[in-house]
Amino acid sequence: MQVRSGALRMPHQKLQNADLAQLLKRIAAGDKQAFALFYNALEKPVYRFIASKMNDPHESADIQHDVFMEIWHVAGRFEGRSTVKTWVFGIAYRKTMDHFRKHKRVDLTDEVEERVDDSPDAVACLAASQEGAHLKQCLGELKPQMRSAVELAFFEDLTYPEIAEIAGVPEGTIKTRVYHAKKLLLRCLSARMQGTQA
Amino acid sequence: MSQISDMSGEEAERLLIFLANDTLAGEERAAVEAAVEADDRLAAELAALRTMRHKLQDEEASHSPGEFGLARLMRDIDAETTMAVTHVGGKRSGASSFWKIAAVVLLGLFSAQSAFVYLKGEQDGTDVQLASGDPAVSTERPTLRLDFDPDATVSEIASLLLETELTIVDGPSAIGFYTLEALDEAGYAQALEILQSRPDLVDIVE
Repeated sequence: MQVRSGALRMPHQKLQNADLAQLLKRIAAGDKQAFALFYNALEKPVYRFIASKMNDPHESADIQHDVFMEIWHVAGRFEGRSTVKTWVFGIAYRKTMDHFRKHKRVDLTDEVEERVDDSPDAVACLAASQEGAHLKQCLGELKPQMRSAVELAFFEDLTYPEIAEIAGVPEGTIKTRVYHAKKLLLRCLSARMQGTQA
Repeated sequence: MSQISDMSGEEAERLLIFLANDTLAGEERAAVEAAVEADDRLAAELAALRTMRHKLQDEEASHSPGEFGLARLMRDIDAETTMAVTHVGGKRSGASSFWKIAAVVLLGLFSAQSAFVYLKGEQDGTDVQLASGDPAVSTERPTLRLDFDPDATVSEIASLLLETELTIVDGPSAIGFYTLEALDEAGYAQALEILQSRPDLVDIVE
């Protein structure tokens, strides 16, 4: 199969925030080459962020498409009050959560079931966290908004104020989400490790 | 970020992930580090979190749409521009659908879910081209030609192709039609029935 996009083909580039902001200005003026550069710089992390929650490459591709179409349309609204990456992930977060609300029966509240056993075996967790399959399974059991917070922290190395801005919630909410996510993750990993050993 | 010199154990625990990803700074970082030093459980959890982070960053390969997704975006942007300028009535051309179908095929390469989408061009030594080129496959299996609705999404098209068990063997033509192949006459009849029940997604030609 051959599909060529000719001049649109660009090498993957790692651009700094100032470069991305400059590209957004050009995109706002209708510069498609700038849009291509911008896409190449951010499409992989954006796709990973979406796909990790969707578990469906087709739906993920559609949402990613919508994210970048929105960027094309609203690039001129970026005011530089956050980093470009935070702004873009904010759009991706909103579209992903909208998709969950419309198409999937998922609990998007911050409520967490209280459990008596609150101190998982950290040594077992450490061992289990080295097993990619365990980790993936346990991440998959988190609510989407908790999983987003953990992924933005671990994949993108973002600060909690940045994650709060992306999710559109107070910083304290993000701290609480990652706190509960950490507990659930460690508990899940510990249980899986003990199950393996049993 | 809040600056906390005398941090509670619970607050330190709430920030532990951000010590693991190395984004804490100043007094806040010092306070969490002190809490970790004073608590073996927190120290063990921090070690587990750091391992998780490394593991995730190492393992999570992203099979993103890449250049193909960009081409799809450019097509839609061009289509928007054209529509805005000309206000052409009626149906759009099949060009937009082409990128959606091609996206389905590309995504199928790394998706077991859509592994049935294969192209047989290599059998006769000819590269199959989805872009309007020479038809690469000559087949005696029953085929049908159709045009996908320009508003159909990739996931809708992928689901439909999975359901019908048809294989794209050629297209799009100059007017946007695709040729799809069924395994046998029974499969053809079944696929036809399914496709005819989805006029919102396809226009069957023959």
